[in-house]
Amino acid sequence: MDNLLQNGLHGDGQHPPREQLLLHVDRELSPKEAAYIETHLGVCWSCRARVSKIEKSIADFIEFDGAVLTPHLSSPPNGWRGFDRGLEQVVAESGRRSWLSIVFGPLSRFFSRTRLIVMPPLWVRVATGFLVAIIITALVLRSNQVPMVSASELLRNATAAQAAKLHATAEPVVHQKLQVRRLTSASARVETTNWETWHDTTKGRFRQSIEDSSGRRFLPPANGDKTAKTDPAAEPVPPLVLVELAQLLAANRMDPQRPLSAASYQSWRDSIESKHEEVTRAQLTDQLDALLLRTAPASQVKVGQVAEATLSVRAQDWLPCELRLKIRAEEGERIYEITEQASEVISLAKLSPEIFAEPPIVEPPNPVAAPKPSPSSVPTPIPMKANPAPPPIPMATAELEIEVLSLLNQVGATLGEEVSVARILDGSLRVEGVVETAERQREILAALALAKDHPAIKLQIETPEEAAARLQQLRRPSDPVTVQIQEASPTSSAIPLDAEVRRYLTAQATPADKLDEAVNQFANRTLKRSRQAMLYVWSLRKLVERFSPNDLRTLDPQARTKWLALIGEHAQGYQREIAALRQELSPVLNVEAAADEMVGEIADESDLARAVLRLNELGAATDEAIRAAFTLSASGSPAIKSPQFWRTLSNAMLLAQRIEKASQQLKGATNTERR
Amino acid sequence: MYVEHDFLQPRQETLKLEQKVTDYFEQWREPVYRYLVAAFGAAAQAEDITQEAFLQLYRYLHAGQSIANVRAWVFRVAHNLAINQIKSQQFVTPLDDETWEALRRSYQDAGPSPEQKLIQQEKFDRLRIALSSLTIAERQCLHLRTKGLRYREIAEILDLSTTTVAETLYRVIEKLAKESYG
Repeated sequence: MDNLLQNGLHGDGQHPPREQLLLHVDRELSPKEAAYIETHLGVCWSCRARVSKIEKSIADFIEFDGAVLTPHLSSPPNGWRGFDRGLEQVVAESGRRSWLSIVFGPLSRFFSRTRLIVMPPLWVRVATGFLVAIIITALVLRSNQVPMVSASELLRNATAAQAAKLHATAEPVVHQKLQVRRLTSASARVETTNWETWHDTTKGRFRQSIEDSSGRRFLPPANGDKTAKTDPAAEPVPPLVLVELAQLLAANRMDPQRPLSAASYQSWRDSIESKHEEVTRAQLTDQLDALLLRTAPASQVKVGQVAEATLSVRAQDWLPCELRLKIRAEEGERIYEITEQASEVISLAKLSPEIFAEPPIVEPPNPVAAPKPSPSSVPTPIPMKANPAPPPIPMATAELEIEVLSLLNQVGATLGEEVSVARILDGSLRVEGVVETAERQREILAALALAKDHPAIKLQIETPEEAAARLQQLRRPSDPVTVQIQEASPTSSAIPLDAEVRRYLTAQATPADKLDEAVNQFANRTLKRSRQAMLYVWSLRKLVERFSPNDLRTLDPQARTKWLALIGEHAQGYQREIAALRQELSPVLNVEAAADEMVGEIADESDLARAVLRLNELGAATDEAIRAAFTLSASGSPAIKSPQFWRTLSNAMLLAQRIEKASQQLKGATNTERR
Repeated sequence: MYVEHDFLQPRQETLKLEQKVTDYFEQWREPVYRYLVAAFGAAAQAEDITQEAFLQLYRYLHAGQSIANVRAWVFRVAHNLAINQIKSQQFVTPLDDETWEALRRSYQDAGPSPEQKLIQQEKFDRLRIALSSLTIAERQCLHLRTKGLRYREIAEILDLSTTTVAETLYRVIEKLAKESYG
């Protein structure tokens, strides 16, 4: 607190700053400072009164806390029941206890206690000796069968076993025959799909097929592969269960191409903050011993997230053989079971060449002319991606997102819907948009030049022509596109504020023959401004909502400063538009009203977020009133004429000022406070 | 017949650590829990988070790490867990109108005379208003201070500077005083 002493304590006759009195009350001052204050209090009645006011406030709060808050809060809903079990699990997980310690631990307590009293009789010692021998034998036998391990150890061993199997083969391709079963709480039907996959681990290629009553069919890539254009009509549609499963796996940080792998399980497991885990023993249907790792997030999960997962590994070779996922769904829960039917690692040289053969190229302009491959007889091999980088997927950080936003802001591309920036579930940062001209496209791409090669960024900035061409390719030729355009029929031919605007413009000496046009222009200008103001507010809201409090707390200072700068700039932009609006509208309506809303203190990011959300409400209300007043509609007296509208406008203006100021203050604090 | 002492060490150490963490848990679970509910307004999750903080304490100590100030460490871990898990409740005031009315009814029996009861009730009403005007940071500082934590401990838990904690607490006291005395 030395700095307060330096800043605050002055010579004779001056009072110490009030904050220092609280520090004194809380015994937070150094002995030197405390002695000074003590001396001052001895002579100064007003400071003593202040101290007693502080003490009284504290006493009042403590009384309130004791009488109201504590009795209200004192009992946790489950009475701490889960802790002992949780601790036992953590203890078991934290370290594999040696069997010696398991046996001798409890015994040692027995011996240490008995030794203090009297040496046990000979028969007790002999019996104990036998008992120990039996337990040791049982444990040794048991550990020979299936060793018990912790969750992390199990995954480590399974990962190592999978890697070892790959190393043993040159140019290894992992070939798995899997069965996928889906059970939902909504229906009793079990969906079963036979799924076969090939992973070329050296070239990163992936192929998959399904098998049903009509035979084996190879599946097209899950996402459009731009290099190889195949005839979409000829492609078999993947079963819904697999599409759904792939989405769920990706959303839960698992590997959609190799869900039955320790690495995929580990990736999901690492993404959960706190979890309950247990390793149990079980026997597989083919009489083989297995270890089951069950992991469940400790807190409640959202729809689409894994509520519980179980990975089974064979005890003899540690290789994963079954994955069971319990997913929270709208209708209750869904269970997916992926069971290995057969698995092999074969050398690429020995693999049938048709598996990874290049796909036939189909020319887009005349797809009918290309010979259609017969899906049931000869499989149409389509690589999943030209060169897909298998997981780990690079993760986009909040810092990266802010960097991209900041770069886009330099070319004015963060307002509105021109370019969207979003961190998506697979961990990448998707930057995409359709811009009006090729020139604008170049401008935006140039602004992003520094960031665009980042592996976590997926960039797609297109012109309308490019977007249309891409959509054309995605669309099946058989899909007819009909666009129905409905004529809007206004119920009235004049805007609700027509009379007022007309009167104002006439007073401004607008010639009568130009009046209609001038009214139109005025209305358009106002609407445009209001929309522009809303773009600032929406962007502000997106800026505060896209980062969690934790993101912001852990942000590096530079990114944080940039984030605050973006907030400040947008708040300023809003004020500019609102000031212009007010200047134009006020003489037309002759109404004004001052702000009447108290703006709470904005001391941190949470307050800032709250203020932005409030600004969003106020902004939306004023925008709505403006649109109602200046568009053709049948509404009655427009809200824009009421003092309430003007109060709201003033409140919004004041709040935007405060947001801008707070962003500057927090920026300053970031620079000085972060150590 | 007697077992070598070395064999007993790991098991005994584990038991000792388990006992130690259980003792810490029993000693501080209530303050940590109450802090989480008061500062984040999420009773349902506060219990789980409190327990998880102590489980993390076990893992940390088991890994051979040492902690100079266990109480502040547990508060800090619980606070961070709460920030991660209670995102949606960030803006919730712990005492909404409905709860407040229920509480008001329950403490009406307190107080010796009707007049004193009335005075106390008015005071509490004002305090509640003052508390609802606190920012999240102010609320967190206040409730941590109430649990007996020193300024530097609060600073460590909330990742702030000690000066900021001092300033924040002073603002809290001012707000409380303003409501009480006008």
